[in-house]
Amino acid sequence: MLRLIKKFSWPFILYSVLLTGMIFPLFNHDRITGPDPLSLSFVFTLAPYVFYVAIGAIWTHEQIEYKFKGHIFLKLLPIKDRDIVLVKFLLVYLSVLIFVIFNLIAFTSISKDPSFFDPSRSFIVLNGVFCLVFSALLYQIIFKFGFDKVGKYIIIFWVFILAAPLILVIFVLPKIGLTRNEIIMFFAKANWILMAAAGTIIYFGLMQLAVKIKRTSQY
Amino acid sequence: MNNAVEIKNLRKEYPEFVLENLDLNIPAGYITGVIGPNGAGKTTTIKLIMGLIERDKGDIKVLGMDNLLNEIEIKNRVGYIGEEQYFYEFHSAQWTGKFVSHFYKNWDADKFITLLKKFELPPKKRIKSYSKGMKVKLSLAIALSHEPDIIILDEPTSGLDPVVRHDLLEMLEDTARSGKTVIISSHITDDITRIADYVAYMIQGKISLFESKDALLSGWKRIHIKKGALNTNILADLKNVSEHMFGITGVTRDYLKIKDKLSQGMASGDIKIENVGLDDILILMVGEE
Repeated sequence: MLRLIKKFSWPFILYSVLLTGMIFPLFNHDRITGPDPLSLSFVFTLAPYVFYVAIGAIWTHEQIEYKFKGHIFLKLLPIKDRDIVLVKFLLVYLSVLIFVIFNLIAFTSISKDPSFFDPSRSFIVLNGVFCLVFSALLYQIIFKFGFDKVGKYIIIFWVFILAAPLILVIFVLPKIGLTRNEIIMFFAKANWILMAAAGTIIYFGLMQLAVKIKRTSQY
Repeated sequence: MNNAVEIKNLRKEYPEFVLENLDLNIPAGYITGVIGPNGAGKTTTIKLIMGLIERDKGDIKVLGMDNLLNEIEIKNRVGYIGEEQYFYEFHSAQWTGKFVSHFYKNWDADKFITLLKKFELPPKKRIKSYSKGMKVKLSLAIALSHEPDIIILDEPTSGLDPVVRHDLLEMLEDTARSGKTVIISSHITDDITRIADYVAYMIQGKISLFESKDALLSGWKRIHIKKGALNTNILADLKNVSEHMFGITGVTRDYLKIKDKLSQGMASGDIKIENVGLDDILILMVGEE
């Protein structure tokens, strides 16, 4: 299994390093401006980047596996499908965990004021949880239909990730009458530990399902 | 006789093809050739044996073990070479050997290096730069280096030049001589004729015939009978009979059984016997189906 981790890990390391590096400037943000409304906007903008870490790494890795038919090569070796799935899911989980922790540390360094920190923490964790569930579902689709059938829709996903926050803020929230403060209050009260625990359980539950799909699939 | 592979009542359905109630026993320690036209189900059967695709129904036992329940053990004891070779081609043969060695229980690194040298495969060059023949040889080197009891080859010689083909067949003969089982699927019947001990004919998803190669070649004969020398007793034993200006020609499956009936005609020169090849038998069988 270690050999598989070594073989599969490079895209996950690459995307983690690249995107976690983007948060670095925030460590000095407080020294320049102090915590202000803009800091919270940073959180709400940067936390969804966790999707880029996980999905970007999955996409790059699966694309290379597809190009060289690595999934067939591995299927011929005495390796359990379960181990292949487990390694892939573990790498996604670790990448997401590292990005989330790094985000939390970065924003803690800006302010420990609960009015800033509490909603930030919950929002970052919630993004991590959504990203895990999305990644698990993505793997299931790839295992079921193969990367060649799924890969062409990547552009739709990237556009959606870029456009979703704008659509949410400009069109959806005003329509349902939610103000910025109400959203911040919602995240301030949310139980982040429960979210993280539930996210982890759902993620590894979906992994079991992915193992079953992989066993009966040729991908 | 021990069987290396036992298939019972196997079924696999695709939208445009069905492998139906397939029964096949492959004897251990011999070379068995599987012959059939394109689309007969040879590759599907091999993929099912290897557990690369799921069967709908039936049993497959490899070395006495269910192939799905004991997948890892079986993959440790079976070497597989497909029609297409799959590697991480941006890596070298040396890297590939090191990578796969972590998964095989009985990996022999020295043997792998020796085989690379024997096959003249540059160990440090990227596999991407290898020719098709070199990739087949690398597959064979990997297959042989984990000391398998069975080697399964699916159309391994198609697209190879005669020299590489010759080398590959020679290696397989050596492998079988050391007591291992070789299963080779091919529509190049010359290869099967050269090395196989047993032949299985697969037509439209079924095994139409399974026999030792020697029995097949001594039993199937083409009989030419001159006009006027036709004996109705003989005609009943012939198939695929055609009439022409010199007489009639037909094929028998049981030459040894009807040899006595033919002896008089053979002595007088009215009846001539011609050997048929494995490909002739295939054509005749496809025609019968």
